[in-house]
Amino acid sequence: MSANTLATMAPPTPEASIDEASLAEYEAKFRGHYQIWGTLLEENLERLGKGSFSLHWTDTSKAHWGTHARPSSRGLTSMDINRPKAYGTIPENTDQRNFAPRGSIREPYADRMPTIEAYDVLDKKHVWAENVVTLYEEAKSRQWNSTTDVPWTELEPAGEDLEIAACQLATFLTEVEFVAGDFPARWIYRTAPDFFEVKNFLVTQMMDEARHMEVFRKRALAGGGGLLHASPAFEWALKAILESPTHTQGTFLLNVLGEGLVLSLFRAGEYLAKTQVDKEIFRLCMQDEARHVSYGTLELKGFLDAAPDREQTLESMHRFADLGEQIILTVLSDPCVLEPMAVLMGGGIKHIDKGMEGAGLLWATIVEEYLQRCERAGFDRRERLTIPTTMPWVSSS
Amino acid sequence: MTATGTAAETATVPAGPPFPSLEWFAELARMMDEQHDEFGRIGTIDCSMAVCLLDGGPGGTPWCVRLDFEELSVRKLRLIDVDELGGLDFVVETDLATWNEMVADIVANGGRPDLGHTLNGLSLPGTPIRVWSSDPLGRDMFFRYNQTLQRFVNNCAGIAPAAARR
Repeated sequence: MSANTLATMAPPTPEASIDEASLAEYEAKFRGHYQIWGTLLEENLERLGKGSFSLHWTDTSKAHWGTHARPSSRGLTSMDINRPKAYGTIPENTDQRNFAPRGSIREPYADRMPTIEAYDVLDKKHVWAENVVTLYEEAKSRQWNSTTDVPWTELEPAGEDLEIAACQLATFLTEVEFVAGDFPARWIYRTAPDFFEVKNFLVTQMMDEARHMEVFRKRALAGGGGLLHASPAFEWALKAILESPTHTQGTFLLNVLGEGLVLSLFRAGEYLAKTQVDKEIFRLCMQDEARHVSYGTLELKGFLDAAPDREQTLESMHRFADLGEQIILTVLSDPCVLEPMAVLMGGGIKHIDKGMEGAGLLWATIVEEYLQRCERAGFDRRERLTIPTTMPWVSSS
Repeated sequence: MTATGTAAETATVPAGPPFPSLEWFAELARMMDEQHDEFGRIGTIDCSMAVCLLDGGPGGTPWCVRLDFEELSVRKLRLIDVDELGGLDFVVETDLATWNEMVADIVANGGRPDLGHTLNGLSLPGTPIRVWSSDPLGRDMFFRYNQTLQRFVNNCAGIAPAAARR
């Protein structure tokens, strides 16, 4: 064994370890809280030492003992367990910044509970949508598996320029799915557990987006073309979504505006598909995306309906949307998205001009459906729209 | 997927219900009930929709059927008037020739339409099939349940032909 090899195998120097500093910080934090935690621990150990029992947990007087959640024909759903008021009443605001479940006996222990600082989304209006519980059940029911539910062995080449376009589109869609998964992740962590239904739904959204990322990556690789060009312009739009200041604003950008657009792209993808494999992929993804759009639309409605000063809140949302709509414009004008769409629509790169006519129809559809969803949420953007309702493209041929 | 017979096989099968008719859609509903495992793998569906054939009724008048899907079945199936369409989640609207062409394609391809004859493919440009709703969230259900709806319609390949006799 050479001296060089030995040097490589040596443990890192203490200065190089960030784990040590993190550990020290963690220790200090919990030593600081040790008074309550330690007291609780001492009480329990003392009881054990005396051979006695607490049995306080057998007191059901403050519980909802005897309240039955009754299954419906499809099993015991989230809607079924929320039917009893004792468990299904969603608070407008919660001060429970810990893990104690809604409906449990938790008040007697409030002064000895830790506070989870990360839980800072404490108002129902910032996360709730009236359809979130049913969408969660639907999402569980309609999961699919990109490994086995797509007939990969049937994938056939459809001409090189079409395959290049399909791979570029798959690259773009892989890129977009990262933010679509990471945005909910950022807010699940911050949402108080009293709104667990929302957390659960967002988990299904994350799973959906992971599957979409996976299936489009697979699509690009399965045809032999592989992943093609990332897009800097598009990356800025994604960053704007991820860094939205509130959950409602970000959900508006991601679920209403972004996923509404992607839903239309998936519909167009199914329409344009040159193979049954592509058709199946887009159809499956389309279903998931439509759930996310539905949640986003009613989440925005719930937020606006609960606003103490609706006019002021609407104005703030309008200001936000003025910027947010640039995401649509960015995506629809990006050559990494628009041009492969036009090639697929036209039937080849020679017919890209013809394809642009189809892309123009898609543009108008995307903007109109966005406006309709905004209106459904009580957020009329028709007079304030900052982007063209038709594609600003003139054929040079 | 319901297996479809060859021409020789279907020739020996009793004629199916005519199209359009309530019985034709009832046959699809019956097949859905028989395929709970297959539909269950796709997922549950809960919506009220209609298929409206603008020239499917007597003398080329509209013909509309309402289907209420619940869980993995069609719970209600009935003919309705055009003025009842607005209250549904969404309406699939087309003409008889388009629907018949779609069905013929599904049958010819053994229960799996070719690339140009899927429900979404025929409806994306707004023609020849138009999917509409008074509520954008209702229209989105067409997309949320698209895989189920496509499979539901694909089962028409298992209905013995009778449309030609209409």
